Amino acid sequence: MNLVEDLFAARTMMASTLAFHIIFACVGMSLPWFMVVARWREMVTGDPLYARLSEAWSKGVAIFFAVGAVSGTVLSFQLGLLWPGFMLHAGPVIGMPFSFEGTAFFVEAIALGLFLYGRERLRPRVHLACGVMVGVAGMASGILVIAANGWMNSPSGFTVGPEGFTDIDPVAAMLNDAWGVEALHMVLAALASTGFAAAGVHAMRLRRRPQLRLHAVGMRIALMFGVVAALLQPLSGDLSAKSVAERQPLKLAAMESHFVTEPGAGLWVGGIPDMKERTVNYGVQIPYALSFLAYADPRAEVRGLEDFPEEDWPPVLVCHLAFQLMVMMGMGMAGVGVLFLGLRWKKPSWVEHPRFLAVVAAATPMGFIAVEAGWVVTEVGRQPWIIYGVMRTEEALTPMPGLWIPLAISLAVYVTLSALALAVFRRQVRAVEEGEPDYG
Amino acid sequence: MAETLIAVIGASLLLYLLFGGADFGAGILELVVGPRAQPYVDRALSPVWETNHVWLILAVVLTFVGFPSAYVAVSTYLHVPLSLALLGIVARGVAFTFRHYDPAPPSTRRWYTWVFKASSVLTPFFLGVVFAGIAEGQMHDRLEEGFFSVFVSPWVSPLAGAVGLFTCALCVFLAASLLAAERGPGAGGQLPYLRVARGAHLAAISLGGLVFAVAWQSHVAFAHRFVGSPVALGCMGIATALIPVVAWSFGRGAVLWLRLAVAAQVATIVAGFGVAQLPVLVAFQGGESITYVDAAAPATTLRLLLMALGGGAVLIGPGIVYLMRVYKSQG
Ligand code: HDD
Ligand code: HEM
Ligand code: HEM
Repeated sequence: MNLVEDLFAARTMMASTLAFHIIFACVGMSLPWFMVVARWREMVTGDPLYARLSEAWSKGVAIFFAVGAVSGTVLSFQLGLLWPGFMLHAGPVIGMPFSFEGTAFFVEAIALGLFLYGRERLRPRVHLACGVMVGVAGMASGILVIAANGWMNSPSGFTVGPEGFTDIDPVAAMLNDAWGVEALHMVLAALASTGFAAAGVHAMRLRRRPQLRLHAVGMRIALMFGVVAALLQPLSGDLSAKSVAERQPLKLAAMESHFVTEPGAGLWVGGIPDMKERTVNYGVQIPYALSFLAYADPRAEVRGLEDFPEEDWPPVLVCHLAFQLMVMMGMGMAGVGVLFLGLRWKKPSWVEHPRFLAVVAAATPMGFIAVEAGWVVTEVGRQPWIIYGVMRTEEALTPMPGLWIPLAISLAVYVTLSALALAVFRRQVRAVEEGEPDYG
Repeated sequence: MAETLIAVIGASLLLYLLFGGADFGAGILELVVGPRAQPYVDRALSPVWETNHVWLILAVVLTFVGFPSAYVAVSTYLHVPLSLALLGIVARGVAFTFRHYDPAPPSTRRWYTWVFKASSVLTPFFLGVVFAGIAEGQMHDRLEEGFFSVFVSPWVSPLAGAVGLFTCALCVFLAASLLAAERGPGAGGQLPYLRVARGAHLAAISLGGLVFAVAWQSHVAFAHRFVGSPVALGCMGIATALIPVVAWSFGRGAVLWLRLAVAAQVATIVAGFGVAQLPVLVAFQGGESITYVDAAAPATTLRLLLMALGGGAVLIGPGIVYLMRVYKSQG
């Protein structure tokens, strides 16, 4: 009766929890590395500036880690609270990555504890090694959960029969076809988003207080990570697209608003799909580009939406716009990256020019926007399936009615938390600045 | 294999109760003792708070991988109290983190403290309610009877209330015993915690009795199995025998003994409940139930899961010991 509403509420709740969690996940996968590099520079140069930078970042890691763990706790319950039909069958199949993730989390917590409390108590090398462990474990957490998501996109390791899922092989499920490309793309995305966000914050503060060397140094380290990742990201995105073309042609067609099956298909840049006329308005089409990108052959045939029954289509508009947004952000960051490397090479002093700082500051949110958009592509593009080709999302939904109430509560919580976190973050930055000798 | 996994889940829940419980209890203590407690609470919590929920997460993950139908039943029919406990976990974790790291003005910090204290009661209470709901056997799947009957009545009962309060009292007791050590042995006598701990000990014992009385009164199958099981009764016997040890170590300020005795007491209580509950994982109306045998995932999954656990333990065990040593050094 209210199935449609409840399904919508459950999806929105899942999406909002994940959208919240992914920010902490990205930071948890990347920021430890920044902190390690700063610590390492401190050991090499003996400059206390790096010590203060590494300490400031390690506090950031601690805060994000704690809130990330809390939102992860919510997720591990929410999967059952909202999608019992999914968990009943999926649990035994994709449990492996989740249980490994638990180990990774533990290792991360221990190593972080050692890093935070061991600055004075451990030998420098041991202390640095603990920092590296934090980074390795954080990356491992991220890579492992992606295996579960990859399995939802490209299910393997079981057979569906009248008695449910049988012949369960958790190893084969974990090594599904989507995991590799998704994990690579995600790792780069985490580094790019956190790198650009951190660099942007340092750049903004540096514009205000140019004498603070802490920000100059912090921006360089963060930007280096962000730029390298952002330049590799289009290549990895191309691999992702090829993999999607093979395993989920319908998702590719929705991302591209590609309605008609044809050889030598063009690629839309921008544009709004018109579902009635089955065309795209206001966009520019690059001839042959889609065929080339998807199959490395400009003449290859790309299947369009029309080839599939309409009840299997994902929401085309959402996928298309989200995909465009991600790529746009990706191109923007790659552009900043080229500029940064060029300046470093030819005009190193311009890296702190207010104009360039303004560019970096403007790029602050781009990585995270791309991450959220990319996940919308992946998740909305999988609809109406929760396990692609095996189980529909509505089959997995909980029978609990009135889901809009928990949805409203959780949205309120996330909005409050985000506002609070921003305020805390600003005060932290302020406090760090005031502790600097060149604060003035 | 399923038995081993059950044991691991039980151990994980026990560790959550011990460490996480002390955490919650410290928040409740702050509520009882007042702001004087805050420095002690912060100090006692800071080395462990980051790792605590992981025991709960571990138990949850092992349950959904190893016993999916039990996980699904609990999260479907106890949706409401679980969500409330989750809300508490989020509010608490965030408030504590921010209080610890946020250089905020006092008015903001008062808010954090208030949220921290309130959610420190909310969370263990509703976790207790969930466990009562699992054991009491009032769940059913007759969706046509409406929201209230399916999603509310299984956990709104005198037993659930009693278990919720009992859980809170246990948490306070754990925290007070932990904090009693904060000034080192001997000097403990001056601390307010010792009095609180004694009070909490009494409260826990009497609420434990109440839980049992209510369960017996409302003919919960669990209570009858409990009385019928020599192992469960033996566990209770040990827990009771430890009461004088706890009282003695309170009196002497013998902190190490106190902690050991308290941990042993809680462990035997949990073990006793566990033994009485098994083989049932989740009880339904009319005596139906999901046992661990019904719910167990295929053997391949269980085998791999146990292997992953073993590997993880080899990595984590020494790590924890090392962390504790570093933390205590010149601490
Ligand atoms: C910094 C973030 C970022 C940037 C710059 C890009 N992406 Fe991306 N993209 C993601 C962050 C991301 C993501 C959020 O991490 C996703 C979601 C799931 C995944 O594996 O990565 C994603 C998914 C995703 C998918 C869907 C994969 C699937 O469903 O399995 C494709 C085809 C692309 N991306 C392609 C690209 C292309 C061609 C880019 C060109 C610039 C690009 N991405 C830039
Ligand atoms: C693409 C999606 C995800 C990524 C990249 C990701 C990554 C991470 C990372 C890096 C952390 C460590 C937090 C930190 O260091 O700050 C973390 C924590 C956590 N995540 Fe996620 N996560 C994702 C989705 C999920 C989902 C769907 C679940 C649901 C089961 C989940 C459950 C958890 C839990 C329980 C924690 C805290 C404890 C732990 O790591 O075991 N995550 N996640
Ligand atoms: C952290 C990054 C992620 C984000 C931002 C994200 C985003 C979303 C969105 C937008 C939806 C709603 C789709 C719709 O209904 O139209 C969704 C659904 C869902 N996602 Fe993700 N997702 C992420 C990662 C993951 C991972 C790693 C898993 C698996 C372990 C996962 C499991 C699910 C499930 C079970 C649903 C609900 C069923 C469905 O709508 O298909 N997600 N997510």
